[in-house]
This record gives sequence, C-alpha cells and structure tokens, in this order.
Amino acid sequence: MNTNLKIIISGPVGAGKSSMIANNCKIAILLKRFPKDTIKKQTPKLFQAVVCKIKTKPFCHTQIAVVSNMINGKKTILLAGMSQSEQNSLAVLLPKRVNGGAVLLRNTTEHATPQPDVVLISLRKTKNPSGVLKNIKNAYPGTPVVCISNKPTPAASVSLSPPIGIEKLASAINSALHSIEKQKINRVKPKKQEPLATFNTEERLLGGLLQARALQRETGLAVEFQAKDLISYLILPDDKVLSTICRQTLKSLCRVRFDSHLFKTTTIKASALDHLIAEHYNQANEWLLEDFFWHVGYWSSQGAIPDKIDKRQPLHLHKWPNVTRIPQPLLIIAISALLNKQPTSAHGITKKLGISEKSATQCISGMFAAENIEQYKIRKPGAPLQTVASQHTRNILKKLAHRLLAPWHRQTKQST
Amino acid sequence: MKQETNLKIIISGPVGAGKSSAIASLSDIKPVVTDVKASDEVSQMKEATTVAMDYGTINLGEHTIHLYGTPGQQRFDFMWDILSEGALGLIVLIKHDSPDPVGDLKSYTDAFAHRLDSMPLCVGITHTDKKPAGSLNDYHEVVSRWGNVPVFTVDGRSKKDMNLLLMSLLGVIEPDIIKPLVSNL
Ligand SMILES: Nc1nc2c(ncn2[C@@H]2O[C@H](COP(=O)(O)OP(=O)(O)OP(=O)(O)O)[C@@H](O)[C@H]2O)c(=O)[nH]1
Ligand SMILES: [Mg+2]
Repeated sequence: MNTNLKIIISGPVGAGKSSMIANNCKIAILLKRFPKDTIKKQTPKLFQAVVCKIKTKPFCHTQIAVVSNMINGKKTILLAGMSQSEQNSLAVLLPKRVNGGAVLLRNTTEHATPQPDVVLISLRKTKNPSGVLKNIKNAYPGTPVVCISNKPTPAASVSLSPPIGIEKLASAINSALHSIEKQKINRVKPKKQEPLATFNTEERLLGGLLQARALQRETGLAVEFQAKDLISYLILPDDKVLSTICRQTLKSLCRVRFDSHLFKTTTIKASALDHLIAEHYNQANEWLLEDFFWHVGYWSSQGAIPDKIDKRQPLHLHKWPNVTRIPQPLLIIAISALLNKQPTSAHGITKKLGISEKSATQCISGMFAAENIEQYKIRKPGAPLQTVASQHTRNILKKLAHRLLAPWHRQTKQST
Repeated sequence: MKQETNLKIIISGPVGAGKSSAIASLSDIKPVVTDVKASDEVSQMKEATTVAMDYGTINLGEHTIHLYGTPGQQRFDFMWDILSEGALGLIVLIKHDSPDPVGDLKSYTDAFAHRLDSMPLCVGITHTDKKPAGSLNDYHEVVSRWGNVPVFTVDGRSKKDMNLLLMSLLGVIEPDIIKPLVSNL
C-alpha cells in the first residue's frame, strides 16, 4: 500500500497556499518569510476534504509534499546523516548542479518530512548503516536513495565511497532522478489512451487520388489517374469523376495497398477529352467529386484514419458534408455539429460522442477526403453562431431530435 | 413566468422550391395550406401557389413545434418578417433547376439577414434529381458569412431528407441535442 501520497497545492501569489500548509501539517517547511499572524486556523475543513477524497488516513499522518511558488519545478533532496556544516556546504554547492535546480530538505524527524524526489544519506558515521537505510526506505518507498558510505551498499539506488567531489555527487543525484523519471514515464504509458490507428495514405488509392485532385485544381484541366492497367479515374473540371470500374470494385480496391510508384497522373487537354471519355469511360460510373472522395475516404478506413491527419491536433469543420447522400448521416451530423462548435481531435470525437472507434474513423476519413474537415489552426471568420437556447428549450429540442430519428429506427427494425 | 414551450421553424424559398411539400413531409397534421390557383407568371410554372403561408406541426406530447412555410412569391415578402420573428431557425429551400439558384439563395438570405446573426440557418437544394448538382460550393459561398451553414441536396417530398435537414439545424443550435442519438452507433 502506498502511504506516501503527495498533494500539490498551487495557485497565484497570495492565494493562501503557505497558510494552508502551515495550518495543516505537523511539520511545514516554508521557504519564504511568513508573518506569523497570517497563519490562522481557517482551512482544515477544506484540507480534510482533499485528503478524504484520496482515501487516506487523517491528514496529520499523510506526508505532504508541497510545490509552492518558491520551489515549483525544482527537485527536492532530503539530506540525512549529515553534520550541520556538511549540510551548509551542500546547500551552497549542490542545488545549481542538479538538473532543473534543487531545494534541500533537512531531515528533522523521520516520518513527517515531505516526500522528497531523492534522499541523499551519509552512512559513514552510523553504527547500524543497514538499519538506518531500511528506515529511510520504509519512510520514503519508491524514492531513490543516494548513499555515501565507506562500504558498497547494495540496498541504495546509488552508492558512493569517498573521496567524493561535488561533481561526482551531483552526477549521482542526476542519474538517480533520471532513472525515477524514466520509471514514471514507463508506468504512465500503458494508462495512456491508445490514440487512433492510422494508415499510410500514400500506399492507398486515396493518396493517388488526392494528388490527382490537387493537380486538377492547379491546372484547371481534366486529370486522369491510373492505379493499374484498366483501373483509372478521370477528374473533370466541373467537379465530376468518371471511373472505369464500378462502385463495388472501387470499394474493395480502397482497402488494398498499392505500390505508389505505379500510380500515374496525367493532365488531359480539352481537345482530347471527349475522345478519351468515349473510348474508356462508362457514364454509368460517374460520380460527383465530393461524393466520390467521401466514399473513397470512408472505404479506406477499416478502423484507421489517414496518416495525413495529426491525430492529436484538433480538427474543425471546414464545410458541412452533403449528408443526405452519404452513409451514416446521423453520425456525420453529430460530428459536424461538434466540430462546428468546438475543434476536437480525432480521438476526442470518439470520446465526446461515445461512438465506436470504427464508425468514428470511417466518418473522419470520409470527411477528410471530401475536405469537410481540416486541421484546426485559427478560427475562420464568420465564426459559428452563438445560440442561447434555454435549458427548457433544449429539452424540447432533444425530444424533437428523437422524433426525427424515427425513420431510421424503423429501418433498423425492418432489417433485423 | 410562463416558459416558452411552443417553438417555430420557418421554411422559406422561391416559388416551387418544395416548401409546401417539405411541411407535408415533416408535419404530424395535415398541413394547413393557403395555396390558390396560380395566376400571372407563376401559372407557367405550377398549378397552385401559396399566398399567405403553409402551416404544420410536430407534436411532442405537451409541446408543439410549429412549422411555417412562407409564400414563395416576392410580392408577399412582408409575410416573411412577420412569420420569422422569434423563430428557432430558418430553412431555405432552393430549386436547383431554376435559372439562377445561387442568386435565389442570395436574395432569400439577404431578406432574412437582419435575423441571421441570432437565428440558425440551413439550406436544402431541391430538384437535383432533375438537374444534378456537381458541387454545392457556390451555395456554401453565399452563406459563408454566417459561418458553417449546413447545405444539403434534399427532395422536399422525402421525409428522411427533411428530417436530416432539420436535425442539422438542431446540431447548429446545440451539438449536445443530437449527441445522445448517436452514442453507441
Ligand atoms: N422532382 C422533384 N420535385 C419536387 C422536389 N421537391 C418538391 N417537388 C415537387 O415540386 C412541386 C412544387 O412543390 P411545392 O411544395 O408546391 O413548392 P412551394 O415551395 O410550396 O411553392 P410555392 O408555394 O408556389 O412557393 C410539387 O409538385 C412537388 O411535389 C424535388 O426535390 N424534386
Ligand atoms: Mg407552397
């Protein structure tokens, strides 16, 4: 059981952090001048509430490490087993040599000292070095102990034997701090939410088609994109796409990995266009541009989003998709409404709407390919309308939304 | 204080765009229509046209959503303002196969512009089955001054299309309204 819990008290200058500590801790180390009369018994209730929340023993037994504005960001080093003069000289020499700076804490009693980042203990003058070390380790479990001793001390994180210069000591402390940081990061890793999976856009049909669309816009000419013999697409200047393959084949090809070196993109002169269309393209496989890209993105997903989207950065709505002509219209409305009001990362969309990762990634990929969403940089002018529907109105509108959903409910019932 | 429980939504747009059809698709009651046999130039386009308004309702138990369709003809535009006061949102339907549909959208949104800073807007492009719409970018452009406005191709006669359009209007008002509907999808 972890009995060393730390509470960080933060806030602006003068907010009352130090008073709170002074009033509630058995031992308070205050690193600033503190007029006595400001320490009043006014905060114990609040403090107890915090302590109860983390389900520990009454606060007087809890060890509290405080990052006040004086030591914020600096490491705390607890000195133990040292003479006054040793402590004084370390106070001058050590802090500036510790990465990020350090504050030295002096060991007054064994149990009520704030939890330090590292313990520096000298065992040279102790008769029972292993006992003292054991006590320290019990008092500060998990804290690295740098030990100065005449004999090697395996129980310590780092053991140093004299002669010890200040540089050697600082480097031992830095490496102990570094190793504990690394451990912390490793411990935190599995808890981190796995961000959404991505796919390599360049290796898919989508990547080639995005390039072809860019070329079409740049030149204003029709652009033909060939992925393989017999599979080609013609992006026309009037926002239409012709394809040599049917919808179903396109759907399965979107999932296949291609060697992008085989992709071929060619501009077509207006004079050659009619002939090319008549020779190679079937009007039955005609698409509207946005619709086409939306579907290619949607079908490419398979539970992942294009790697061209920075999944940690927020996305925002660039343009509402034409939801009446695409699959999953309700989801798309919900995602669009969310991104219109508040830029949100791909992962945030899944979480905020409580939708499955598969649906979210499909819709995000489709919306990305159709340019309905983009990475958020600065808000566009003409920002979304700030409506002020009262809670009462919202409740009615929720009912209305539910009613509007009825045709889809019926559809699901029929299909099951 | 009595709380506002009766909310209204306005459907506007040019002659023949499908406003009366849209209200019929959405309404729970048989819509109240004020269509008369068309005279003058409208008779070239259609048999009957709305002169005062269309009216339908969506009944939600103790609450009612009122749907008002404005008359299409510009000469009745004094009705637009009367109807739209205090409305929850505006749906503009545009007939894609008319001579200047983008211009139509501009003139209709201009007519409501004084309300659109506080009233959500969405746009349905109808009759695209007769004349396919390549891209809706030109329409988006017209309404971009009000941020991202939903612009969809719809058929005024389709309940599903009209429901989606209205759903997007709710999403513009407050994304949280539709969030519970999609959770676990
Ligand atoms: N082909 C096609 N017909 C449609 C569509 N939407 C509506 N219609 C038809 O178009 C005609 C005109 O629709 P209305 O609903 O009367 O149009 P309106 O906007 O009410 O017209 P006014 O009242 O005259 O302003 C009707 O015959 C509808 O059935 C569409 O998307 N495609
Ligand atoms: Mg009508």
